[in-house]
Amino acid sequence: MAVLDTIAERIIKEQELVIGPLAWSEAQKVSGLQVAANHSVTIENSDPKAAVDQLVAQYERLFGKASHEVCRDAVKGMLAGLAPADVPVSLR
Amino acid sequence: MAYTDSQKNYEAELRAANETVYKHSLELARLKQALEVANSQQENLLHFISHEIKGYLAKSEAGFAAIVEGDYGAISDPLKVMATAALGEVRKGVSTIMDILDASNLKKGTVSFTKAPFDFKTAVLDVLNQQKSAADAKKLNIEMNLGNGVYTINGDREKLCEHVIRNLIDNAIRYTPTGSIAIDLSYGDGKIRFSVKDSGVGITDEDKKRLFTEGGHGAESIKVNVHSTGYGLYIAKQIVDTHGGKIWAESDGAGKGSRFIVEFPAATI
Repeated sequence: MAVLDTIAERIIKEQELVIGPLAWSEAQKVSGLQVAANHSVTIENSDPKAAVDQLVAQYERLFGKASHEVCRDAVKGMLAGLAPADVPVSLR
Repeated sequence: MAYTDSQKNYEAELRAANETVYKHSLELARLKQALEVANSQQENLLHFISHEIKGYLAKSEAGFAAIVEGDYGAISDPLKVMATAALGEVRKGVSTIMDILDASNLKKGTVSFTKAPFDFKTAVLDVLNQQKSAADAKKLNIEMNLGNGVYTINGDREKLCEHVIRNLIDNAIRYTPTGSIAIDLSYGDGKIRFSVKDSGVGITDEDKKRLFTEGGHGAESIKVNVHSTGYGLYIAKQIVDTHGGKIWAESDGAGKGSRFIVEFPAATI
């Protein structure tokens, strides 16, 4: 599983703790993000970073800055292994 | 299509409301996480303390038993009386701690069950034999209607005897100051039904709600048995549930006796 797939999945699961199943239905609206029935996430987009940014923006559009912070906090520990250029803008 | 000012205002209000709800949900989610951590730590501590105390009590139990049985030579009558009483108290302590540990292990899901077919009637008779002296001491009349058949169920005989059959009969004896206890066993619709009815202190509607909950004491029961841990029926329910059965209680209220019923699926062998 690619790192950004894992990051997207982690973000959705963290949002699920706050807003419940809505987190998954909102994620399904993000183009290039494939959510399987078992809740595994795959990014099928030529620009996976952009897909993660769109996911973060999808939650922020509905729930404001607090949701953006939740996304950032959720994946803080996972970003350490990435080169700065590989980190999606929304998570920097 | 251009938005009117009022539509824009409405959208802004809606967004603000959404954000507020989100922040509250976030706070609740964090509190829930903190609570789960605190609960888990508390359970671990309780488990550790119980386990340690059980160790000390077990050593004391062995010591008093050795004195009573004369392992250290002949003892005087007063010492024997004291050691016998102390042994009884220590055994009660071990039993209390075991209840707490069992409940904790059941909750954690760390209890293993051995399932094998056995005759439930024989199990009931074995437990009754062990508890008959307690009923006799209170001059309680025990009526038995166990039928003639064999009541085979597939389950953990030891746990069902100790935590379900013994618990229900023991409670009936404990909470019935005078009168009688009726024990019934029957079969119907693929189910084996075991019930223990007493003419004891009964159960109020309020107490029924917490009867099978963890540490749930009835207001009346605590007056009769101040040492009750409140874990006995909780453990019984967990074990009955694990066997795919049902347990419930019936009572017309305080002072009107009670009836505990357990149903298990009969084994198909």
